[in-house]
Amino acid sequence: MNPPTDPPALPARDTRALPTGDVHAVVARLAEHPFFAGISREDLARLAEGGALVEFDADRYALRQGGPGETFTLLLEGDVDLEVAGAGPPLVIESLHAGDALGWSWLFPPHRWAFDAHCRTQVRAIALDARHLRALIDADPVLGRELTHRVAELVADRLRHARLQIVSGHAHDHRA
Amino acid sequence: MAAPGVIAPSGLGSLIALLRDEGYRVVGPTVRDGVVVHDDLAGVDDLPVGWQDRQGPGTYRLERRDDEALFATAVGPHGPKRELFPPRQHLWEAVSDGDAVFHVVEPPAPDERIAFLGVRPCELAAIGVQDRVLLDGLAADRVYAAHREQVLLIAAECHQPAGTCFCASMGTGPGVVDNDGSVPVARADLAITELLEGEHRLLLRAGSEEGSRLLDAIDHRAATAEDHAARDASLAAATEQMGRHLDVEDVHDLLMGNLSHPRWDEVASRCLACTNCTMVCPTCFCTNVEDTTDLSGERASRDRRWDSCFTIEFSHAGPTSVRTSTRARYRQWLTHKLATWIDQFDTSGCVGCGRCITWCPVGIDLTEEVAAIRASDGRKSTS
Amino acid sequence: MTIAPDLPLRDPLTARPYVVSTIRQQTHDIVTLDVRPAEAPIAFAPGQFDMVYVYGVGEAAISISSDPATPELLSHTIRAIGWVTRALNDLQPGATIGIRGPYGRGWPLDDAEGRDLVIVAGGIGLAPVRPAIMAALAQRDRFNRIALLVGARSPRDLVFRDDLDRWATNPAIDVHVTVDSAVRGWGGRVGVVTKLIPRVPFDPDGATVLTCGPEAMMWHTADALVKRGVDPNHLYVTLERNMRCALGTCGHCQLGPVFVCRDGPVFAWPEVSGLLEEREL
Repeated sequence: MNPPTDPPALPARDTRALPTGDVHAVVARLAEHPFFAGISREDLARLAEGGALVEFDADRYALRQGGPGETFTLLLEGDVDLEVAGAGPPLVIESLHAGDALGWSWLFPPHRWAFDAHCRTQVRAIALDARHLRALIDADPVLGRELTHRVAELVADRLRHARLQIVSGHAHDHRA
Repeated sequence: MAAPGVIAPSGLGSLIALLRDEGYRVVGPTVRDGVVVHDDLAGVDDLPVGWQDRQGPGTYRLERRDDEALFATAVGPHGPKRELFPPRQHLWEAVSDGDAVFHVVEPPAPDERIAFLGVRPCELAAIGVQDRVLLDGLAADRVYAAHREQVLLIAAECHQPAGTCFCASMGTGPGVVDNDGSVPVARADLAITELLEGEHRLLLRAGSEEGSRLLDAIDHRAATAEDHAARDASLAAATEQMGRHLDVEDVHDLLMGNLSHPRWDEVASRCLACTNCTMVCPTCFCTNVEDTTDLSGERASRDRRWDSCFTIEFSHAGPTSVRTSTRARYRQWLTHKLATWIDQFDTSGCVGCGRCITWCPVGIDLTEEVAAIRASDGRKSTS
Repeated sequence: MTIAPDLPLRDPLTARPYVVSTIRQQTHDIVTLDVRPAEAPIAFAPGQFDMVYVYGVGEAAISISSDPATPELLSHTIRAIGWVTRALNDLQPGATIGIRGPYGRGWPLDDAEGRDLVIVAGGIGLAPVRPAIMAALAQRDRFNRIALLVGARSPRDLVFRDDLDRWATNPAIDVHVTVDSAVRGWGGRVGVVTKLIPRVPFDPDGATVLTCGPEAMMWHTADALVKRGVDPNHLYVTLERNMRCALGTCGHCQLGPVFVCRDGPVFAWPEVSGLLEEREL
């Protein structure tokens, strides 16, 4: 399902698609990305529909908090910080690097990003079309289950890490 | 080695006198405030002559007998541990020489010759267990070693076990167990068997050169076959009268395989975590240290005192304690005593003296706890 | 420098005098005390700990954090949380403290011989593994890869930053540092240390791993390592319990069948994971 209301106006994402509409290039890069390890070329090609290779300049935002979850971004090169904005300089709560997947809010309503994704460096990534992926999940239960499972694992990992961060914040460290 | 001999009960008086003449402090059971405690003995009359104890879970009282038996009481709350490993021990003192400098002064090693008279077989076993813990570990404990080296042990075998006794289950009594090296039992220099059938007499058997010398030094007659037979009968009767029984078969795996047994919750609902059981236990060795300074700040003292795994502070580590619930602390005590002690010291930590049962204010009985766990053993597969 | 081969006969519970030479503030509540023995230095193994005594205040178990090659200069890295550790944090150079030790079973560097050595440290947990890193670098050819994974709550909670900077440019060791959170501009990785485990180059089949940090971190580290294919028998942890006597005779640090002071503090993971799983053991 699509989000019921339009997202609030936000600065446009600083993205520009590479001058290529070549779905084969996208599939080739997807095949190398750990998130999609083991998925057939055929399925990758279906996932890649509407996707593109994208680039972000350093100090730009790949995603903005509250922004619409319309892409699923997979990092190929560069470093991206998930940030919480507030008074003073933003707080980085996780850094993502080549091989990481950027965000999962595209899969679950209300399909909005929970954090800013700030590019620390020049970043190259694959941006898949989230609407297309959601439709594919509904249409193909087998591929849909596989993709949902992988996103769930990503969410589980992030949750585990977040909880460990909380625990570390409470427990005194070793041998004090 | 001197051959076994027999003396009249009054003959013990000359042994006590001899030991005192030789500079020994003679310590043994004596009645005070309605209970048998350990204290200095000046003569036979200081022993609990004509007394017998009635012990049960959470109860202790002394009753008059219709004879003049010397050793018809079982163990009271005290044992040789009080002297060998005192409740409070001064370890060392740091003396300040100026602003930030100090030097450490160790007190002289304890130099007191103690003769324990009337040491029960379970207590010999307890000393043997403490020897393993405090002498045979990474480093011998200086205080314990100094006391232990000079001690003379005169045992008294048991003819009248109390209602809380279960030494027969633990293989530590009621007679003095030969130390063949398989179980840690302290060697008695002299063993007394009080014989009440017929003529009231004491059979004395030497277990060391020192014991042999002492036996030779007091008036006695040679023991006869009848005396030895009377001893056998007395010990057999005592075994029969044992107030409690603990099935030790497979007890290590039984307890360690039942760490989540509901019985721990049940016992925790009764246990007050008062530490009594650990304070009266003859093998418990846990201690803590206390650092204090005098008012001038020129002397800092370090003392060691008995501690107990029943306190919350005991397992304090980092921001909290490991064992915050009474359930965990009772489980720690019982599993250590009967199971993990074996892992650590190759012997049970329990000698069957029953003190923890008697002196528990709510009468928790470890033999009953083990039996309850055994009755509903939660292990998936028992081997 | 000679090391006394035989200790003078004295009570093992008696502290020896050491003089504080320098105090290095590591974080807002962690200092490293460098001390010199007033008597002959005593050799120690990486991973061992000392009982450190402050005049009139008391004793605390503290891991040795300095190079085992130089026992004449001992370091202890201390977070101020209790009476003794706060007093240690307040000491001035020239002060005398008492130390007895070293105690316990240290890191099994021999197990890593001919293998990859991976070290995972959380927060002040870098202190107990620092001697192992120094010892390994001093005998570099005994090991294949050496990787160091360090985590801290924030950049200002990182200890031994000089070392981390130095090792980062040393080709003999592969250093990865991450923090749980940071203000923008930190420039390093952000995330828990276990996140590094799937990414750092080492051979899981041939890796020996030493890990030190809060218990929760060690659990997650173990899970991540096993997921990557590391044999838990080659995973070592160091445990924290209430160590009072350090000789296995005061009872405080008992964990089921073991005394952490005497049988540890370093354990192979399978030796203790089952015990740690049991609540309040």
